[in-house]
Amino acid sequence: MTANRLRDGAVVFLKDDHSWSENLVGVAVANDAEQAAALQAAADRDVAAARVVGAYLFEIALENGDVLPLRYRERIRAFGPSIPWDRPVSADQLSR
Amino acid sequence: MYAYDEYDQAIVDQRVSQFRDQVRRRIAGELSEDEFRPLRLQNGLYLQLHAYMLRIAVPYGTLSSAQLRQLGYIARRYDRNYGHFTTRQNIQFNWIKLEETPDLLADLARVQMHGIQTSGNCIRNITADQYAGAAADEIEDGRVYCEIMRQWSTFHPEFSFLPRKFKIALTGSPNDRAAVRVHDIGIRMHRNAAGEIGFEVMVGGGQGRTPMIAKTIREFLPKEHLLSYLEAILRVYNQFGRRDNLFKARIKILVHEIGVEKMRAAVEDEWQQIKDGPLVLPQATIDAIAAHFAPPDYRPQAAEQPEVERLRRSDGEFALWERTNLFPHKVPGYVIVNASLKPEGLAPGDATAEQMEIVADLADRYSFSEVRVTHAQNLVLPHVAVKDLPEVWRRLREIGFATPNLGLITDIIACPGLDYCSLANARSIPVAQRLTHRFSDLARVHDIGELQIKISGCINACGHHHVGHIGILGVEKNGEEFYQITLGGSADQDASIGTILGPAVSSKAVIDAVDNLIGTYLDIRQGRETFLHTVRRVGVAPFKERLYATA
Repeated sequence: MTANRLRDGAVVFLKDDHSWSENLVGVAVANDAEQAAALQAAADRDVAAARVVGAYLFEIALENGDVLPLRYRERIRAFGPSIPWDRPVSADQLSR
Repeated sequence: MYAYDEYDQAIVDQRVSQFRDQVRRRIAGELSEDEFRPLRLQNGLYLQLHAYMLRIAVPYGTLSSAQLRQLGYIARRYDRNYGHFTTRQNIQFNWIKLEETPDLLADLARVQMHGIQTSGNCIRNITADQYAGAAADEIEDGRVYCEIMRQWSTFHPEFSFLPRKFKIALTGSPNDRAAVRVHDIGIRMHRNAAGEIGFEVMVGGGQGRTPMIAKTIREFLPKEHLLSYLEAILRVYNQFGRRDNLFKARIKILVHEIGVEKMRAAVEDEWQQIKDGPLVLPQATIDAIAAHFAPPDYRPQAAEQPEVERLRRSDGEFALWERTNLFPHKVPGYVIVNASLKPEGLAPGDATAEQMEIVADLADRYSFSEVRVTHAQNLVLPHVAVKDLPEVWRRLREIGFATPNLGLITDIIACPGLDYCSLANARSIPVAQRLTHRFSDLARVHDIGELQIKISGCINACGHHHVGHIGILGVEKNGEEFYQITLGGSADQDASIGTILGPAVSSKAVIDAVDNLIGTYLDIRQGRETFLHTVRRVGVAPFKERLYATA
């Protein structure tokens, strides 16, 4: 289950304790329709509470216990753009 | 360039304070996302894959150095230190936080900028020839009329909820650099038989899933009737444009379905009723706006420039850059300088805060504080004295903006694609990067000559693939990225939609496929014939045959 955090838009994933994490480590996994419905219900509560937006389930594979999104789109959401995207500000620039 | 009057500033400032309150209510949970979404989109704030994205309007592609410097500040303060210039002459920031957006918009308003008309079913930010007011080949500075249209269209109550978005482009030159034939309305300034300057009006062009070339519905429109005629077109569209099907809602579908004759007649009927009303543009109004675009204080320049001559003879790189990245200016002793935002291996159209600031400094020193954004995702210093070329070239080279590739195979247009965009099916930027690595030999690039590659990550065609000499469209097949190739598209005065070559090729094969097409071209071109001319002469068959024979 993934969504974007309302305040900053960051990609987040639902964990078993129904908190949201910025990475895939220890995220909740639904193995059947019933579990999926439970995750959706938990996410919908946080959508209604204006914590996250656009919550949806996506397909994953488990590789050595690690969660790996199946679709390329979800991998890019989880791991960031496939191109260099973080261009930190140098100390010199910060001082301006 | 145009400077806001008190009304413009009041409107934008008021918008910022309204949005500040809307964001507060959204974060407090008083507004749902369904209620809030249209409000944020009306300020250019989208939610993309990784974060919010803010699209900022650059009206008709004209920026002051102060505005560009402020965009650099915004990149550093609110984003990850860079921004992306788009195919609509706008700029997008990819990593924006909702809670910081009101402060960001306030910082923009300080330099007379905003995100209004960059989203939603309204008349979008109007685009134009990036060389307007400077080009040797232009008839008149079209920005005067773009600004008049901007004032008419902003918050126009009748046209704020059109069936779909609406894009207008204008060129004041016979050589169309604004792609006017692929816009909802394209406007071309020209002289009639009597020598008067007016507008040819074209309607129903567009890209997306149903690409169309605009049809001319009026050969010559006198200047004074510009707004009334546009209003008539918009009224016809607003009344008859389809609202039942999102994919059939653009004006191009209406024009296609009823035909250009009926469209012309409907517009004419409407126009006759309003043509001599309050929308008539008095010459005094045109003159008042034109005063904002008065030519800068050009200085007489010496005909001989020995230092430039010396550098031209001694430095092949400078000579190559001069040959490709400059464009003739209307004033002797001046040239238009293109800063190529297409260095090898980087994302087309991206600029860091520091690069923006250095271009702003160059504009202050060498281009009367003016900068332009092009729909091909480059920047322009529109008024540079020839004697200053060596220094401008050196500074641009230091920041990686002096690749001598303007209009050549590595001057690629690419949308953000699946790396950023929530609509995309495949990535665009990495394909562009790989192509710039493959075609990194400048001698070869110059031998191939004029060639436009345009890449879109989905059928919405933000990367203009339909009008690329070589168009590349990303599609998803069974979870894998594939690319469909089109040939023979063009966005200029001889606009055409590209022809699909055959089945899409894999991501792995797409660079070789382009190389293969170039190989065919080099083998069969006649004399100095460009790639596009070769395709138009022989059709796509020889290219297709060779490509799929080896695939």
